[in-house]
Amino acid sequence: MEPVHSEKKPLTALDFGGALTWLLSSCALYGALVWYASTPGASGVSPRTALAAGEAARGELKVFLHPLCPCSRATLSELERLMPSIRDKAEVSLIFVQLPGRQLASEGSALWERARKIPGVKLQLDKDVAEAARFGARTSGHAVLYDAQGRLAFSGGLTAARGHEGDSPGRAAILEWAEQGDQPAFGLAPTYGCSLKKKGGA
Amino acid sequence: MSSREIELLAEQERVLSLHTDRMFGVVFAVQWALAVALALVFSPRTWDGEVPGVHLHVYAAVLGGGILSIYPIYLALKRAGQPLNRYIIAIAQIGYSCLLIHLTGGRIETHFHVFGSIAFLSAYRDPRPVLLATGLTALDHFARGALIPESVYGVWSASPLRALEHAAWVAFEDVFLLVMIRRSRREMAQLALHQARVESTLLNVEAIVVERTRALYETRSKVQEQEGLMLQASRMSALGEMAAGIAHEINNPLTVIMGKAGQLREAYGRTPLPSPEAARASLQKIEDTCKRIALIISGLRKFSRNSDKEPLELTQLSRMFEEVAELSRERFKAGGVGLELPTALNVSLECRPVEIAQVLVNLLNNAYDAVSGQPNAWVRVEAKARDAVVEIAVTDSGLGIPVEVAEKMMQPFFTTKEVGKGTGLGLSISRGIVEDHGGTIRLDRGCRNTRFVVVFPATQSARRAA
Repeated sequence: MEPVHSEKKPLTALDFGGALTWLLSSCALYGALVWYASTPGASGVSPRTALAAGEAARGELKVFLHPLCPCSRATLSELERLMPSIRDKAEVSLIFVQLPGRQLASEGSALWERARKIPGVKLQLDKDVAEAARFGARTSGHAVLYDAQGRLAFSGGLTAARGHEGDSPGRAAILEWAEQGDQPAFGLAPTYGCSLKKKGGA
Repeated sequence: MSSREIELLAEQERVLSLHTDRMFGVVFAVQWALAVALALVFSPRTWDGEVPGVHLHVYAAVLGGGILSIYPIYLALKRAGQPLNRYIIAIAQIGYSCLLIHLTGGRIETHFHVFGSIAFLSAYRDPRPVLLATGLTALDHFARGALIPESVYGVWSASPLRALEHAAWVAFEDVFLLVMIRRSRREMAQLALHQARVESTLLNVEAIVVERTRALYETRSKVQEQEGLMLQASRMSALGEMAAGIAHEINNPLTVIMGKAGQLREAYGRTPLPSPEAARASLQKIEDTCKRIALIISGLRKFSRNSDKEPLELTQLSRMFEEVAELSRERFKAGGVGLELPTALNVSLECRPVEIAQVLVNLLNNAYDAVSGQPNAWVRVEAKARDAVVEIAVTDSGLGIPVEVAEKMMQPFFTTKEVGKGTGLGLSISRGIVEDHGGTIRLDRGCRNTRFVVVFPATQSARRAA
């Protein structure tokens, strides 16, 4: 082994104090991360019915997205996993809110490009966040599901935490609806992501 | 386990923990940079509608990563090798797993960081940090599973078995690591055992070498002492051989002195008194004769003293030949052997003169013994200088030495003289003296008479150049 320079020194109160301070700081960091990840965004009230009963052959899943929200990448990942199960039972629309400013253009954004590659989804633009407001969506990643009869079957996010992929209450609720067929069902889940519209804005 | 083995094992562990602490210092620096890069690339900003803000991930990576990294890096740089470090590093490493998993959006691939971290911690070859990291992973799952299960398992009500399942996979890795750690610790103990044995053997060998060297020095100094005594004895023996001649050599001038003194005493008792010139001539004769006796005695004293420690000195060979001849002349005359010395010789030799005189006396004695009693016997001494060497030759009127004698004559105690006349050491000691001066002594087989040739480097610088 190469020459060793450091000698073993006895542990002092300073060592233990330093270790304890560091440990407490690390715990605080851990707590902050858990708190942030598990704090959902705002959510409005989704209308109980969206379509005229019996008009549609399939249900309808609408997912509202902020074009630059980093946490919504996890929402798209979850949607990709859901698609094989719901493709035949619901028409899936990804609705990107159209915000003022060139930087915020939905078309061409990384999230838009990724969404475009998911087979069987329709991409739409929501001018002035009007459509999102109509369906009670205030946070990017908010999904609303209506069955063929136009009844609200689910409202909320598809991820378990902020930007966190994996099993989630939202995914579980939609899969449950898909498996139950025409049985009426209703689920709610928190949504994690950026605000679709500036808080306090018009 | 011997105390030395325990000491060696402790040293191994100290070095190991030092290097592992330092390795983790680098790991934490890299992880910090990675966390910041992930946050800046994937989630630099959060949005409130069209209003951007700095994403919490950036703060988490810079500040949180800093908290997790700086302290372990400080320990690696300043307090490496401390026993507490490995636990702090284990906690920080699992903290990094949480941070990186969070920054990458809970990607299942990032969960491999946990497995990699625990494997890295096994570099301490200590089960405790591995078990601490495993325990923290399990605790994180149990705690979050109980409080906010969806953040861990994505289901509303997590079964305790789910936590066990996740922990079981980590425990699965631990089994391998703990086996490897145990094996590695056993190897360290064996290494300490072998090293202790090698050290012990080396110490024994060293003690034996010291003892043998001491004995060798003692023997060598005894041999040197014996050699000195032998040299002196041989010299006195050679002197003994010449004793009768020397006594005669001194007796003759004494007779001259006594005769001249008697003449003077008688002349001053008569009238007329002797002329001042005649008296001065008698006194001059007495003085010259006394000088001659003094010269003989001086030669004897020089020749008989111990020359072991004498320094080398530049010596005129003509003077040395005269002194040696003074000791031998009367003996040669009595034995009817002619002694020829070089005339007008101007050759110098850097040597210990007493020793070279001894060589010369030995050769003259041998020559005398070989030819005395023969008709027209003679012994001739020659010397010449050429090419930085001085050559001295002693030739006698004999007709050479038989081969079987010549082969053995340089061996100690070999003699052809009758019992009580020679010691058999003369030539062997002469060879030792000559070789000690960097020279050679040989029998000249090309000469029809018996001729010994001694060749010396003229000076010590010539000797070194040779």
